[in-house]
Amino acid sequence: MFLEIRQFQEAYERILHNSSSHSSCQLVIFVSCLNIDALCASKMLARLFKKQLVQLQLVPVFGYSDLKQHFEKLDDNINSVVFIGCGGMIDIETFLEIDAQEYLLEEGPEPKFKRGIYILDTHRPWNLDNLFGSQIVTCFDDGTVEESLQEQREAYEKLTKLEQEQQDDSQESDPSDTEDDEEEDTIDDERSSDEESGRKRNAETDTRRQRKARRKMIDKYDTVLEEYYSQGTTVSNSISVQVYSLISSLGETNLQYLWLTILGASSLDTAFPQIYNQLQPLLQDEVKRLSPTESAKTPETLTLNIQPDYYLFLLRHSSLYDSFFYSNYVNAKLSLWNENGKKRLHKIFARMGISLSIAQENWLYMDNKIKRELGTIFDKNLERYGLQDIVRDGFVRTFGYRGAISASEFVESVTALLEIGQVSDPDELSKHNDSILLENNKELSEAFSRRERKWVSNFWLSWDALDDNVALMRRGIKHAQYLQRSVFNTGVAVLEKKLIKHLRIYRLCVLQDGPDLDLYKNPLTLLRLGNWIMECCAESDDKQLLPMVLASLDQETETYLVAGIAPRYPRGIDDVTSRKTILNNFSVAFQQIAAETGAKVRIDNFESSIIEIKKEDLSPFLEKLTLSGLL
Amino acid sequence: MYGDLANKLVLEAKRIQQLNQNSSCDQLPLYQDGLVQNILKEMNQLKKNAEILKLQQENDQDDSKITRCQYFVTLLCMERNKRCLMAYQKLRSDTLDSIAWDNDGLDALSAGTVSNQGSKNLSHFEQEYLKEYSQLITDMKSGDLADIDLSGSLTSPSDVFIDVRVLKDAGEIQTEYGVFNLIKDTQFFVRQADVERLIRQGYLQKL
Repeated sequence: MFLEIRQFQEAYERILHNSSSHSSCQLVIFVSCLNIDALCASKMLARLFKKQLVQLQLVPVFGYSDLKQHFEKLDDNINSVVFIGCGGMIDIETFLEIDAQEYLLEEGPEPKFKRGIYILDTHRPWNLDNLFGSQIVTCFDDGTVEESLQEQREAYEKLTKLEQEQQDDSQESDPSDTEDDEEEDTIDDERSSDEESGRKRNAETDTRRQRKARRKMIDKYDTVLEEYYSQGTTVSNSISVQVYSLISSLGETNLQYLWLTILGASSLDTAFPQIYNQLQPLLQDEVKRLSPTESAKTPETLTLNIQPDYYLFLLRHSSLYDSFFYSNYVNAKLSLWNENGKKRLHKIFARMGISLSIAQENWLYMDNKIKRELGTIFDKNLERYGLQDIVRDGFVRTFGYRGAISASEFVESVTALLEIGQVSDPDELSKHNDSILLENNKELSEAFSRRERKWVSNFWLSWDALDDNVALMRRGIKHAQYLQRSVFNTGVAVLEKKLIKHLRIYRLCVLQDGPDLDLYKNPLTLLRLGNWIMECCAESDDKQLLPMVLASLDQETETYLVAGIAPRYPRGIDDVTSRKTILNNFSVAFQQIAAETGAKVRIDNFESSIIEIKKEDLSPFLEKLTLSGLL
Repeated sequence: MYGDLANKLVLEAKRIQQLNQNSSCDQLPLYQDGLVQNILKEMNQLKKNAEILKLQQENDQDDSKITRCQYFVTLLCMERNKRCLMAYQKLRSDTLDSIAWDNDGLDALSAGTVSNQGSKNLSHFEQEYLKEYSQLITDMKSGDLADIDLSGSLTSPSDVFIDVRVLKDAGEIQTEYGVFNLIKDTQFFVRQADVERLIRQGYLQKL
């Protein structure tokens, strides 16, 4: 089942109706825990349900195995399960071994079920079984089905019907079903000579012909579906925006919800800029609609307004120089990783008339005049270096007298909290190394689960940071600065040692040793590094956009964490909309090759292009990937 | 001097008091068995002295002022020792009472085993006392006042529903209104009355 945007409200009311009885909680929300968008969406949804005094349980899950494990432990009396940020790409009913009949309450043309599963996921492609095949699973769709899945829908529906018929037939008739077409020809010849049994045979050939035609149809529809599933994955929309549209259809919009929505949407900005660019005008309208007009600043002003924002890393919380130095965008454009780039940066500052000593000062304490004129200074000078797109409209939240933060900075902070978490001094993280050598498989899986547990508990830290908790947010910002520095260092090392191999169809980079290798155990940090490298690569050569495979070695478990990253256009606002969205082909390719080679691969992450491979299996795996032609 | 040992015991009692004041939860350090035994020995000594003095007093016809004074001082010493011992014991039993009120009446009524890791810190008699006191509490709660949860929280409830976060795995826990599945690092939005006990047991953390 799927719902269009307009029908979201019905689903919401159904959930409310099902779970607002007075016995203990009957609503469980599963959140994909390494996904800021899902985090924001679940926060909004939880707040919405809280307002209705619906008891609920929130379970952050790290990956598919985690999800399954927790789902199996659910009690009988839970009748609504919501998946946020996960589950759209797999067949939920088979994966979780749900028997729909078990939950059947009422038969009839519109059967009622005891438990409903609701999927809020923006990973595409949808699994068609969820959309069209299942009666328990309800997908929240944002219009992809209506717009682009008509053909697939038809194919799926016809196919299931045909397969049903085929099954019925094979049950009725004898097992001669497998005989081939040639035989049919001989039958045709025989028919003329044999008048007696002609009629009988006629009927038989009729059914045979039917069967043949049916098989052809099945083949045709199969290829349609095959094509659909193998086209690569992407993210179509922001989950938070979907939830926000639900909230606005209920008429409950307020500034807090809007802020969470903006955070969710801006978290997609690094990896999928086209979505953010689409959503931004809508969000701007909402901000204008909701923001209060206050003249003076008071301790309680928690306003949201639109201000020029820059593609600079944490500008409001570090120095101007550092934020230039560490931002992905500037790094890519100026190729800051080599000496020349650094000189060029200094030249830019000279041209802008900002002395280096001022630029090194923290933004808070910088000269007010420069701050005020920064927009015009940038306008005048940056075009020469191709940096004119550094300025754009952004969203800035003011926390009364405690300072202001822009949405992109907040996202950085929350992401960093997800990655590092509890540690107060990030420097300890790299030093802290519990080097237990693992011997057998059981310990290996234990190590994995221990690490995943840690990330799940980090989830709550980020969750708390969203509650206007300024102290936590500050800590996140410190972490983010540390992370970005180490990503920069690693990135520079990668580029200087020329660790990136240009294969024919993709780029490959394997991190085997390095100072901060421990950091890249976390998929989010690995993706952060991947983004940095991808942006640099996208700027450097215009010839072709190649996807990249990034792998980092984890000594503890002797596995590689491998991320497949889709190619990226160089940034530029002018013609982003006209470009085709790039799909990530690795998700499909990884799975197929893992099945073919039987390499020890763990595909557990919700982001299906991130996998874990045993150390010794990596090179044959990559070899196969190069030769497979799936990319 | 007689009574110095008892002074040490009182100092120890003072330490317990401060310990409990500073940290929010009640705890008991080791029972000062050796010290108490020494004091008791001293008491025996004193008692013997007193008996001897009494005999002397009877033998000497003219009950002299000196023996009377000696006898009196010995009695005073004993009195002093007794007071110190009682003070120490009273303080400990007060702490035991509050532990009994805090922990008992919870789901798992196993006072000596799980709740009080310091049960080995208690003397044998104190263990006995704790058991019987808990029994008294349960008797009282199951008596006329069965409708009220007497060992319940003393802070007044501010909300009907609260957010709680699970701190350690506990599997399925049955409450009055239904089942909770406590998985570590999940969050619930539930009725406060349902989870109050779980919060005090340390499974949940209130937000």
